[in-house]
Amino acid sequence: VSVGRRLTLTAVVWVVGLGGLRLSFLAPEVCPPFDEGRALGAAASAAAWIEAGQEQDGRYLYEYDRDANEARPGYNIVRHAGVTMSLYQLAAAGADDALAAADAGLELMLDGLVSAGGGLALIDPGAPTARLGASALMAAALEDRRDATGDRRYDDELRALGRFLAVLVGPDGRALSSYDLTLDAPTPGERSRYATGEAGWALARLHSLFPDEGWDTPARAVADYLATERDAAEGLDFRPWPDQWAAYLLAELGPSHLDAEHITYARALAERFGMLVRVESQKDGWPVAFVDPRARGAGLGVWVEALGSLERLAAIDDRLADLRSALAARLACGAGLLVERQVEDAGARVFAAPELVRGAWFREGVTRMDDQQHALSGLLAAAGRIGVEAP
Amino acid sequence: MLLVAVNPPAVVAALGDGRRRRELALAAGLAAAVATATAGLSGPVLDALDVTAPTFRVATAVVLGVAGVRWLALGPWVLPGDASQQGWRSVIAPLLVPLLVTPQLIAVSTSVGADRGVATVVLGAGVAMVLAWVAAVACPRRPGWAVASRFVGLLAVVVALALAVDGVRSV
Repeated sequence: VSVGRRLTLTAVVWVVGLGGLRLSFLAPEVCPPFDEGRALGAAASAAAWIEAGQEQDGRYLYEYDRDANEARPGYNIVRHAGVTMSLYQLAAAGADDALAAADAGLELMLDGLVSAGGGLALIDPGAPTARLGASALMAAALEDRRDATGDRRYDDELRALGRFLAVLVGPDGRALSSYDLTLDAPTPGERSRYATGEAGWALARLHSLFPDEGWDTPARAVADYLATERDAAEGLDFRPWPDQWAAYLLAELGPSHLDAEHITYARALAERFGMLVRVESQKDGWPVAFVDPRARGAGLGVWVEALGSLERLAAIDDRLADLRSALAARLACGAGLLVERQVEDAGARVFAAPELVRGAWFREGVTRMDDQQHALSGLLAAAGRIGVEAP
Repeated sequence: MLLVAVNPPAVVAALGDGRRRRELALAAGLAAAVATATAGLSGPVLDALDVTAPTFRVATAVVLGVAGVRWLALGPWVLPGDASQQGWRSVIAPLLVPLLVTPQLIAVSTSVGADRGVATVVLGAGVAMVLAWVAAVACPRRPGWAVASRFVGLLAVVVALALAVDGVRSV
């Protein structure tokens, strides 16, 4: 075999191999430009979508098919609380015009409060059980409302929600996710991968607001459980399970010191969410037939929320100092993707109800209200407007 | 990592009876220089590809893993009998390409260069090439090289898995 032929054959193998990699693992990471102004504009636009679909009774448009121009049936009080919380987060970031819609959403939740576990719980009307997540996110919403307005009129409700959360969390931090209103007792064995972190975060924020009332005890118990036991105890594969609520919780507890296992967990979460955003940024370079579609707005928003929380934590804890620049890069990348994928005015005008398309994140023509909730919160986190004083 | 990417036993086994110490020494030196240059260019290369170091690490794991599986399953590549009859031309082909400058060497040099700097690549590639040359010169006919190359292939697969995990678990 001649030298030239050998070199040619080798070159062919190299080019084909590199081409295969370029279409898969080595696809370019495309991160659209990101800045605080664009993030806040996109967050406001998401809030406008929520407001446009809100009904008189405070409910939001739950799920919407833009091609058929029809709302899909169903509602979820946990997601209602989450959407309301995100509107208050935006208000706390300085956008007062989000308050009216958030307060309307809050009225609906106040009507849904019932006595449970020595406190108050948020339930779907007539439901026989109270879900932990709904009350946790309502508490978070009230905490954000307090940040946004300085108004303390709901502090009693806030504390009562906290008491309910603490009953379900238990001393070891393993939260039960449901409370049987008929039996007036927690439902044994029912757990939620979301609600534990939500409750822990809400309790940690209660401690930040009322530092002398002991809310840190259950909050830290949850942090311990999430950091050391949860994934194994609840059978969650591919640890750590990507829990942005846990990231919120760690960031909230960060200023009052975290233990080594919390930092280890925070690092693992950062790695997980960083990888998710990196892969997401590569999807445009992948052959479509072989890969999942782009993440939903809620999915990408959750990752950005988490990275925002972890960046906040890394900024104050030197044990995570080596992650600061990578976290900032991944956060900006995720937020840039969110802004780029949001439907803008021109794209919305071709649909029958552009006000229900503009500012939203669609996948396969459908959006759900938590797409906007998580994207909104993520954008605020990327803009550095969560967990800080309102400007 | 560079040691398993080069796989010195596979180099020795590939040479068979037709090795030439001076040509191999030159080819090994050139291969180490290529690895060093690749490491030095790793930053601009990653920028040009629009990928971060962890992503490149995962791609490197794939390349190294494929090479390792090949060594493990098929054993070392054996140069054709005429390879040593080409004089100094054999330095370019087949000694340099495809024997020493391989996709896995380029990928690993780029990845290690991006993560740990050029000096690490200089050291790693230098040691690997010297080992290959010394083994080829000192005991070229040992049948154990083929077995050893498979063992290094197994190590390459393990290293590739660790590299993939490390790449995936990076922020």
